[in-house]
Amino acid sequence: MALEAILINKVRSFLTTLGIIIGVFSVIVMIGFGQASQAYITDQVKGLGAGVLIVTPGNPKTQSFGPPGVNTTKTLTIDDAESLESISEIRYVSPNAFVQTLIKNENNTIPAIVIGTHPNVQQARGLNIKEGRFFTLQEAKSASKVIVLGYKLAQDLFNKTFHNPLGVKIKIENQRYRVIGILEPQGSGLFGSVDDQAFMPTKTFQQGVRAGKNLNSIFIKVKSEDLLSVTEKKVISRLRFLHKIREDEDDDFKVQTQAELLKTVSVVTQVFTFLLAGIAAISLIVGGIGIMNIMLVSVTERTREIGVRKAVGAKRRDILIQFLIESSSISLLGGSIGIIIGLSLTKIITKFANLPFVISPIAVIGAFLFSACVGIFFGLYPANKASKLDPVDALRYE
Amino acid sequence: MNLIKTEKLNKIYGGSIPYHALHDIDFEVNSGEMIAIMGTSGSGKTTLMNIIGCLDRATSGNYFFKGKKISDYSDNELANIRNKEIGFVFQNFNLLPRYSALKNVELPMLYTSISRKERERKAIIALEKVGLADKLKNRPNELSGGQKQRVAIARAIVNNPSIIMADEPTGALDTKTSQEVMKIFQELNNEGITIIIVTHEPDIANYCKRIVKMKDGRIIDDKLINQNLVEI
Repeated sequence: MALEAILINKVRSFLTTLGIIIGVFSVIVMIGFGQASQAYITDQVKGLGAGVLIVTPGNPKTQSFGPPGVNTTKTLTIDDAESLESISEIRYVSPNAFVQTLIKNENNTIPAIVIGTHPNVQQARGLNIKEGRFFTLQEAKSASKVIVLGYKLAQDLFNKTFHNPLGVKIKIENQRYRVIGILEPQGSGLFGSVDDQAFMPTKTFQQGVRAGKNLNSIFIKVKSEDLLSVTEKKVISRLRFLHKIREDEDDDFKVQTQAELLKTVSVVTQVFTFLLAGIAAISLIVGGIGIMNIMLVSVTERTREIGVRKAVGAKRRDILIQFLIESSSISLLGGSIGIIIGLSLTKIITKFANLPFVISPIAVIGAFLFSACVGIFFGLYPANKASKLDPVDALRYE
Repeated sequence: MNLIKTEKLNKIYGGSIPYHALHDIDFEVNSGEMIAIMGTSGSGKTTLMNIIGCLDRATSGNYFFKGKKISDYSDNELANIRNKEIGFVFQNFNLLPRYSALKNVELPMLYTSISRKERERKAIIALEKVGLADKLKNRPNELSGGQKQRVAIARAIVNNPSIIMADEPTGALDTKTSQEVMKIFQELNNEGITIIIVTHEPDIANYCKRIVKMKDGRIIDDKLINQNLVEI
């Protein structure tokens, strides 16, 4: 009978439900979006592989909070990286350096981030080649003047025509580099948008783009995962030795494992997700107040009905339950519709933003239960009011 | 044993100026009676009916229903008595406008443990009894006044109560329909249901077997009539 009461006032019930729909929908979208971002970033970090150490310059105690590579302290050099290669547990060392600079092709001058790195970065960051190829280990060792361009960067440099850009020589800081590959469009990620970046061997980078030996980070791939902690200790002591750090001094670099990096990243994205969901939850509460409002109107309108029900034997509890079922049905209906719309929209957003679509059952069940609670909580006051009506007064009500 | 017995029932409405609606009412109803309570408005007849109908409580005095002192029953216990023992019929029908006649008649059984199927079966029987077997699915706004009141009577008898209390049941009906409704009450009374009708119309009171007259919160007259009319 409670359901019938909802169906009878279709427009009103729908408008009341709308508050809950919007609330649940925004919670779902916000959580979905937050979790998609988290999953994406986590994927990227995991893409580095399990047995990975990341060395960044700077004292860990004074280092700022943020992704690796943004630190500008100049304490890591290419010599450090080359020295680390001799540690037997290490498979390969990827010395990374980058700079924001201008790339020129004929009349086009485009600002871009140029990265000097190891050829293995292609695999580690999951960079797919659209045309041409990535640079080889051989080219890295011989400091060949080759460059691989991100998709959008290539479009901008070659006027979107892609008129055979491979083999063309482009200019950075008055040096010429031969384009050997174009990457597929990737969207943005943990290390910035690949589409706006250009890759070249570290040695090439340090000879031309930014003179000097400084590195922004060193990625170390360990031969197997169980060697991680041994390698970490060896890397630390090697670097301390190379940097001539005394016993009583702190490191001037920071070594993180992939797991530690993951933890940092997920803490940041979790806070972000909760913040978004919290804001969205406020609209759910506003929706609840809408339910309370309409239930109070309904109780007043149906005073006589309550009187009749009491006259034929309804107890206080019966009336209370009837109105609670009505209010929670409205909110559950709204919750279900909100979940459906929310999930669909999340799917669309993540598709266009190139993010993974993650459904968190906890978020969906949570939103559903929360909307039920909102219905019961905000229905309680009107329902209680209805149940307390005196039958004689209620029957006399005009 | 009396079905209903009251001892020195008083009802005083509070407020800045207290209003003494009932004065020391001693009143008895036996099983199978058909009683008209008459009086002008403000005489206390509706107040008395509300109290003996367990819708309201007396300020003082005792009320026995089937020998049980129910003046100190809890609200839930009174609701139970209303549900099982008493059927109400009101002047303005008080049907739920959005429900069909059938659903309206089922209403009292919603507050019992009767199954859905059984509820429907009993409601159909009750509606057949008042001659509305063909109006099961109609909503109140599709029924005439007399039909509405017959739905209300079906609702009152559906739980097989001991007593029906009707407050001005013909107040909103024309003479012809009033007669029809009163005849239904007489038939029900013949079947053994006790009936109390509150009215101010002597024509209506004349269908009953006993007339109780009230004035200013007191019973001023109580007499038996129509003892030979049982055969109608």
